[in-house]
Amino acid sequence: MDKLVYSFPATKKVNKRAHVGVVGSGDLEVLIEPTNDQKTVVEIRTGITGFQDTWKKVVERFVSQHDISALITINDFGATPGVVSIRLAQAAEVVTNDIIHY
Amino acid sequence: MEIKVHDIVEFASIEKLTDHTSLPPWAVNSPEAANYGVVRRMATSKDIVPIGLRGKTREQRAGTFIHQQEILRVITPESLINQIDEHEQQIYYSSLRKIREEFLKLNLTWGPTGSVGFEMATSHKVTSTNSDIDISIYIKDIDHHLLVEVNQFIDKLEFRIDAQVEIPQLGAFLLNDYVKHSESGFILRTPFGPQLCNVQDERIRLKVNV
Repeated sequence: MDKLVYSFPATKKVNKRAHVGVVGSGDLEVLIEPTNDQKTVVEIRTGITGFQDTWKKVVERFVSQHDISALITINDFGATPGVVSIRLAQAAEVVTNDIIHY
Repeated sequence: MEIKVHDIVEFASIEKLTDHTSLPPWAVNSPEAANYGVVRRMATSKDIVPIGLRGKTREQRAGTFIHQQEILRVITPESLINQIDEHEQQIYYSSLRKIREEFLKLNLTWGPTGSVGFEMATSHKVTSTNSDIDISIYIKDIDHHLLVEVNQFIDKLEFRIDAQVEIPQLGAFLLNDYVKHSESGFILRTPFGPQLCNVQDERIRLKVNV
């Protein structure tokens, strides 16, 4: 079991929680909880070890597109990077759909 | 020869595989990878079959390709149902037997995949006591009530069953994802990658994120 933690500065607050995805082969659960810390913290738990570099890239790409003060918890069951990106975007949509976009 | 995702293909030796990159060292020496590969979901040119090799551990997976000509035998998940009773000693036996009985009543085509399917097809021991049981269910069209019923049945079994639903020409989704999120969005795995979809008027539609 790998546990990976990443942290990035953030400015926008969110008011909602999100829980998307499922427990199942090739999928993952994503939980987003609002925080007041002005950072995005991503905690990943995965049974598939050895993919730190891939996780880092996927998470960095997400954070570059979504600026939210939140704790993002990921329970991974061997999802591909494509599935991870879809689930993260889905969760972000839930928590940010009352933020005004410019 | 029709070959589909999750089928297991047998080949004479690992030298028969077609690839432009080298295989990881574990794969070259692994008895599990020496003669068998599992068909992956990927669009390829004609006659080239994308397969995955597996080793002893969960991390040991390698994607490669095989030319159809080099395939000696195709073992489908559906064909493994006839061998369930040969695996009476295994921890997954009672669950597979119950699924077989129920799915026969529901007239469903299905088969074991993942580590259980690989083990049954190749006799290489790759399951462990904490392996879940992966199965594929093959349907032609979405039948919402049937899928909900199947999910309820699977949920009641003592073992964790990971059911994937395959629809020809379209792709596959996880049954529990579909049942929980058919309206809000579930992931359809296609040969061109995963897509977020939902169901409207009993049809699968792409859900485009704004």
